[in-house]
Formats: sequence, C-alpha cells, structure tokens
Amino acid sequence: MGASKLSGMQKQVLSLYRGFLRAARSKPTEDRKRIEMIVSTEFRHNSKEVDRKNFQYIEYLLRLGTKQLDQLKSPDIVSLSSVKVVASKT
Amino acid sequence: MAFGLIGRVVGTKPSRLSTAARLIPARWTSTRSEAQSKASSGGGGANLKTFQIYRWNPDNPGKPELQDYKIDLKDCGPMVLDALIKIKNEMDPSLTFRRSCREGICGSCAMNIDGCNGLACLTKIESGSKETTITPLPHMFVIKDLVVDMTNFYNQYKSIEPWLKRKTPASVPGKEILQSKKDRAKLDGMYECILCACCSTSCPSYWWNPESYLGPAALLHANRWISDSRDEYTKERLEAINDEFKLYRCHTILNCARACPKGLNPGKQITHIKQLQQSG
Repeated sequence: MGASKLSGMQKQVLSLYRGFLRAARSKPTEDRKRIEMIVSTEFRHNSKEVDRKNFQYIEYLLRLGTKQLDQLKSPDIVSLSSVKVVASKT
Repeated sequence: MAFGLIGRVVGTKPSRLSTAARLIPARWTSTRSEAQSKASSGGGGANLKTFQIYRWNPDNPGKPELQDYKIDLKDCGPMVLDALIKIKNEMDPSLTFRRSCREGICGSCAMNIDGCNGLACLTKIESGSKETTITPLPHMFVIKDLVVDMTNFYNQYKSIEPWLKRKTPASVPGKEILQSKKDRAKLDGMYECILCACCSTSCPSYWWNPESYLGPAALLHANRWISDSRDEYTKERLEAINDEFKLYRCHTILNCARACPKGLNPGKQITHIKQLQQSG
C-alpha cells in the first residue's frame, strides 16, 4: 500500500529536514539555494553512511541539527556555508 | 625552612655543627638525585594507578567504552584533573574534557569520579591500587568523551530570571540599592553557587524529568533571588515556580547536598521555597 510506518526517530529526522527547508525559504534567493544544497547533501550522506540502529549517534546528530536550525532561524543570520575537512592520520 | 635549619645550626654544639652543615647541602643534593632517579625509573614507577575513562567519539561513532590508562602517581599532581591533563599531554591527546581555573571556582571540570559527582580539580586521587572510574555527569547527553550538553541546564537557570527586578526606583537615583548586613547574610549559602551542575545531575528526580523539573541548582538560585531584600518581585517569582513539575518534583532525596563541591545545600533552599509557598 503506502510507505511502511515511520519510527519516532525517523519522523524527528524528517521534521528537522523540513524545518531547515522552511528556514531556507525565509532567506534571500541565492543563499536559499546554497542552504538547501548543503542541508540536502548532509542529510542524504548521513542516511547512507549512518547505521539505522546507531541510536546514540543519530540522536547526537539530531541535537546538533536542532541547535544549528535555531541559529539559522534568527533573522540576523543570512546564509550557511560548509567546508570539507578530511581527518588526517598524523 | 632554611632559616629554621640555620637556627638549629646556631643553637647546637660545635661537634654537631659539622654534621648539620653536611646535612644542609646533603638535602639539596638529595633532591637532585631524587629527580635523577625519577627520570631514570620512568616505566618501573612504584606507584601506578589505573584510570578507567569513558570514551565516545562522534567522528567515529560506535559504542561508548571505558578505556584504561596507567599513571605513575609520583609524577602527577594530587588531583584528578592533574591526572587527566597528564594523560592528555603524554598518553592520549584525543581525550576531551572541559577545564579552566583548576581551583574549583569555575565549575567547568564537573564529572562523575568513582560514582560521585564532583569537580576534577578538587577531587584528590585516591591512593591505593584500586581503579578510578571517570565518567561524564550522569543522565546528560554526551557531546564527546567527558563533555556533556549543558544547554538544558543553562536554559533552566535562565528561566528563573536570575537578575534584580524592581518596581520602584532606588531611593537615591543612580546610587546603589542599600541592604543591611543581616539581609545580605540571608544570601550566604546561595551566592557561592558556580553552576557546575553536580547537584542537578545527582538528583534522581532530575534524571527522570530533566525538561520539566528545574533541578536543585536552578531552584537554589530562584531562592537566592526570592530571599534578596532588594528584589521586589518576590510574589511573582514564587508564583512562577509554584508548579507541580518545576518545584514539587523535589522529594528531598538530598543527593544534591552530598554532591555539591562547594559544600552548599540546595535541598535546604528548596525546603525554604516550599515553606514560603505554603505560607504565602
């Protein structure tokens, strides 16, 4: 029939994603695209890489995301940017 | 110390003078030789103690683990924070913990040491060969290793409005609002709180209701502002916390008084608020 029932944690992740996209809508157009790009790559990357059962890490990411979303919602914040850091073994 | 030695040398018989005179430089050289022996013994240190420290890395997330570190107590300061810094400097730089003043006044290094909450800079390393277990503050979300998420705790402190609120301006405008010594003495036992969160994280009631129950630290500060004679919003403050969850989750378990590293008694202050609620 439809999609299988989503767990509470999955619903939280989806609502966080929705929250980011809604916050992006309130920013100027150019920055809006950048925010959407960053957020969607991050979420898609994590959905593939992170084990579904690793609850502690998923909750950690949710808390981190909620804090970042609260910062983004503030009208003073104009845009979001990201830097790729590769952890070196040294 | 040197003066005492000289005094003794002066007071002794001449036959002893030579031995005492030999003792003074002997002491100086003995410390130098001790230092040499410490440097050379190194791995064969007599006083090894094992520290089991909670580790969890969000960059390589897996299950949190207790990792063992062995420290020679002769080379280390007396406090747990000294051991942690030594481990971070010499053995494992990835060990993460908060610290600042190293004298028990900032409250950054609050953690659970051998089952009891306390400040790492004020907790002495227990001598003996038993292992010391160091974990983050209980029932708090862990950001990394021993660092926990304190935002909920700080928001609860903010919610009680910890500042002076007045309806009437000061009697002499632009000058201080006067307070008698007796009234100032009422604040003793509350103003010393450094917001380390040791008390709140030791309260089982706070473990089960961290979002709704304010916790001993926030309630201690609420009482600090309620008891301040200069503050004129006492009634409003009492009404704001007169809530089934905010205040009355306290069942006088009194773990908070036991855990406080500054020796304060939040439970007593909470009882004071409850009495005011009853009478007011």
